[in-house]
Amino acid sequence: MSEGRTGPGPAVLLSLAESREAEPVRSAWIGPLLALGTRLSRKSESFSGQQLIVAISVPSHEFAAVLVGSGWTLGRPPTQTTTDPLTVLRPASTEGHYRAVNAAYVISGQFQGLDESRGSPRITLAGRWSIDRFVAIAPTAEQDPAERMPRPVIGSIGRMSGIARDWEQRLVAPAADLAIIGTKSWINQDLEAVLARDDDADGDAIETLLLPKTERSATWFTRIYSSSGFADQLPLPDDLSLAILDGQGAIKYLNDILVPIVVCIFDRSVADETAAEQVVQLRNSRGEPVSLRDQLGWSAPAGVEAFAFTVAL
Amino acid sequence: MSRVTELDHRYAASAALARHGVELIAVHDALAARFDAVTRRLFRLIQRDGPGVWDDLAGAAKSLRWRLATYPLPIEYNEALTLGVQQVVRQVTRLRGAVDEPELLSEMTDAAAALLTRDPLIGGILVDSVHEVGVDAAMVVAASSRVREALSAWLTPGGIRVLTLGDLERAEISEEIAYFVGPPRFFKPTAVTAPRTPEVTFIVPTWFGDRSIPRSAIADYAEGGIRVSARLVEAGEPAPEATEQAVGSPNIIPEEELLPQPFWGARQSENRAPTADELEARKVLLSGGRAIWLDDDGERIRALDPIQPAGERVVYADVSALSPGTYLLLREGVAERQALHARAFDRTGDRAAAIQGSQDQWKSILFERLRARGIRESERALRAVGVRAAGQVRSWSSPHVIRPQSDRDFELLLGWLDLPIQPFFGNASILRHEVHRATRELRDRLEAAADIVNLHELERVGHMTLDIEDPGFRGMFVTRVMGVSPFTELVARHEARVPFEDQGAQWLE
Repeated sequence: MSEGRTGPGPAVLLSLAESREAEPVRSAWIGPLLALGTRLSRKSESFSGQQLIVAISVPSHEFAAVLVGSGWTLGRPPTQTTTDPLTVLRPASTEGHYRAVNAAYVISGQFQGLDESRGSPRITLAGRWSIDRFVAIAPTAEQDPAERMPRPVIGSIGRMSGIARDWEQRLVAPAADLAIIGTKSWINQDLEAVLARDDDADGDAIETLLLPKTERSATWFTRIYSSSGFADQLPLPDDLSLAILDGQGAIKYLNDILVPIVVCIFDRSVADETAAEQVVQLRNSRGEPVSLRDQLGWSAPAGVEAFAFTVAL
Repeated sequence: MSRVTELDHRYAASAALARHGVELIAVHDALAARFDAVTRRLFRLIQRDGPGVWDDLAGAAKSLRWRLATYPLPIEYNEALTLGVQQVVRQVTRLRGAVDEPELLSEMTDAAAALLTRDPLIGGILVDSVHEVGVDAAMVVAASSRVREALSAWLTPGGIRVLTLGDLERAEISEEIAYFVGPPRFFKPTAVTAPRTPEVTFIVPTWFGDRSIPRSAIADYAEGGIRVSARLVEAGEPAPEATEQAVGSPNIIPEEELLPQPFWGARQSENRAPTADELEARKVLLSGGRAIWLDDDGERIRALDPIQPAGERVVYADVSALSPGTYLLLREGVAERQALHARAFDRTGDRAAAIQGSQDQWKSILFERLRARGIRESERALRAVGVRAAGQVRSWSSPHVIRPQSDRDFELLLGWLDLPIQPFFGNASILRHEVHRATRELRDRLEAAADIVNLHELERVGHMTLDIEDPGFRGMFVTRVMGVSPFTELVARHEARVPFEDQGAQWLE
C-alpha cells in the first residue's frame, strides 16, 4: 500500500487489526477516516442555526463509522477542567451524581457525603473510598447504568493524539455528544478492532476510543442505535453534536435527525440508491455546498467520495 | 483472509477501477444481430399500431433477446435459449391468422430458429478470455441466479468460478479479473463502484444499444467522485455492413423499450380527488404471480433486508422509492396496519370505543379544514404557529397515522383546530402506546422468523411464507418486488396493501 497523508505534517500510516489477536494491516485509508472525525470535532460550534451534513461513500461499510467516530471523540475536550476531587466535592450536594476515577476503576453514583473528620478524607460514592485514591471527579447529569467499571487504559493513539495527557478528565467528564446509528451487531464487531500508530505494540481498541454506552458503563462517550428499530427510538437526545448514520438504512432517517453535524456513510457495495438520492435532493433544494478541502483541510483518500453542505435547521 | 485485509483489497480495487476504467468487449454475432433487428422492426410496428394483440409476441421476443446477451452457452446445453426460441415461434403461430404482417412474422420465426444452428459466439470469446489469464485469476459473473445455474453447469467442470453479483459481494475473492456476461446496465452499479477485483470486463453483443457505465449516486457532487470509464474492444465475426440500428445513430430505440418489462397499460380511474374511503395507489408486481396496491399513506412499508445479519433484517422501505429487488413483508387477506391497529384497540379494553370516537373526531375536523383551506395554506398556517413537522399534516388526517410524533406539534395542531387538548391528546397517546407495543411484538416475531428463512431459497424462488405461530400474525410472507407501476389508480382504502393475483410480471426474467 502506498504511503498516505492524513494532513499537513510527516506521513503517518495507521494500522488496524480486527482484534487483539489478529495481524495489524497498515493502510492509507485508515488515517483520513479518523482525521475526518477529528477535523469535524473542531467545528462543532461553527455552524449555529445550521446543520452541517457530510456525505461520504466507501467501498464497504466496515470500520468507517467507528473510525470517524473515534476521530471525533479524540478531538472533543472534556467538559470540566477542574476535576480535583476535594475542590469538586467540598461544595457538592448529596443530590448530585458524580463520576470518579482511581487506579483501577471508574466509579459512578450518587454522592452521599464527604467525611473530613479523619486525617485522610473519605467519600461515600457507590461505596466508601479514601479520597486520595481518586485522580479525578466530576458531576454527571444522569445516573450511569453501572456503578463501577474497570478503568480503560489508553495507549498508542492516546499518545499520538495527546489525549493521554487528560485521559482521566475525559473519563469523568466526557463530551459524550456522539451517536452512531447503524447495524448494531456490525458496529459491535468493529468495536473489537485495534488501532495503532505505525507498528506501536500498544494499539487501542476502538471500544476504548469510542466508549459506547452499555449496561456495564460507569462512564461513556458514545450512544449506539440500531437502524432497524430506529423509528421507535426517535427523537434523539438533544445533547448530541454529531450523529453518524452508518449505511443506507440509517441515512433514510436523515430528515428526523436534528443534530448540528451529521455524517452519512454510504456503503457502495449495497445497491440501494434511494438514500443517496434523498441526500442529493436535500443538498440541491436547501443546501449550501461546503468544500471539505478548503473549510476542513480534509481530502478523501482513494476509494472514498465525499461532499458536504449546510442546511438551515 | 482477515476482515481488514479483505477491506483493504476493496479500497484498492475501487481505486484501480477509478483510475484505469473497465474493459468492454463488444462481440459481433450475425445470427444474434439478425434477431435483434427483427425485434426492433416489431417494436416500431407496435409504436405505429399500438400493442394489444402483439403483446405476447413482444414479451417473448424481448425475453429471447435478453437471453442472447446473458446465456452464451453452446446450444446443446442452452435450455434457456432453446425455450426462448420455442416461445417466439409459438407466439408467431398464434398470430398468423390474426394479423396481416406475413413478412415480419416469417422473419421473426426464421431469425429465431437460426439462433439454434450455431453456438453463440459470446461463449467462445468468454472462455478464451478466461483461459488467457488463467482459470485461477479470473471468474465469470452471471446476470441472475438462474443464469448462474446454467453457466455454472457449463463452466465449473473446467475450473471456472461462476457467481452472481450478489454472490460476488459476499464471497472471498482472490481472482484478479471479473468477466461480466452482459452489458453494465444488466448489473447493479456496485459492479463498478464497489468492485471486488482490480480489473473488470463486460462482454456485450454489438447490437445492444446501451453501453453506459453506471456511476455512484453521489459522483457528480463529490470530491473524489468515482466516474469509471470504459475501453472498447471488438471481437467475434468481422464487422457486418451497417445494421439498421447502428449504436449511436439517430432514431435509436431506447434500450429500456426493448428489455423485458411488465405491461402497465394506462390509468383507468377517473381524474379526481380521492374520497375519504379511497387512496391513490400504485400497482406493485410481486414474485409468484401476485401484486398489491401500494399507497403512500404513511410513507413506509415493512421489508426484509437479506444482507443484514440475523436479528436486524426487518426494516422499513420507503414507499415512494420502492424498486425491483426489494423484499416486502406482507400479510394474506388484510394489511398489516389494520391487523396491528385491531390488536392495539383490543388492548385498550373498554376504552376502545371512546378512543376510536376521539380519533375520528379530531381527524375528521382536520380533514375538513384541509379540504376547505388546501394543503399548502394549512401547512403554512401551522408552521406560523410553530408546528415543526407541518409538512406531514395530510398524513395526520389519515386513520393510519395515530397522531403527530411531537407532543408540542400535536398540542399546537389541536389548538389550530379550535379543539381542547384533552381528551384527544390522552386518547391518541394511549392508542399510540399500544400500537408501538404491538409493532414491537410483531417485529420480534418477524425477526425470529426472518432468522430462519432460507435466504438462498428466497433469492432463487422470489417468495416464501414465514413461520409465525401466533394466531394474530399468521399468513405473513416475504416476496420480491418485480416492478412498480409508473402511475397511480384510485383504490378503496381497505384494498391497499392486500395481496391479490396478477400475471403482469410473467415476461420478466
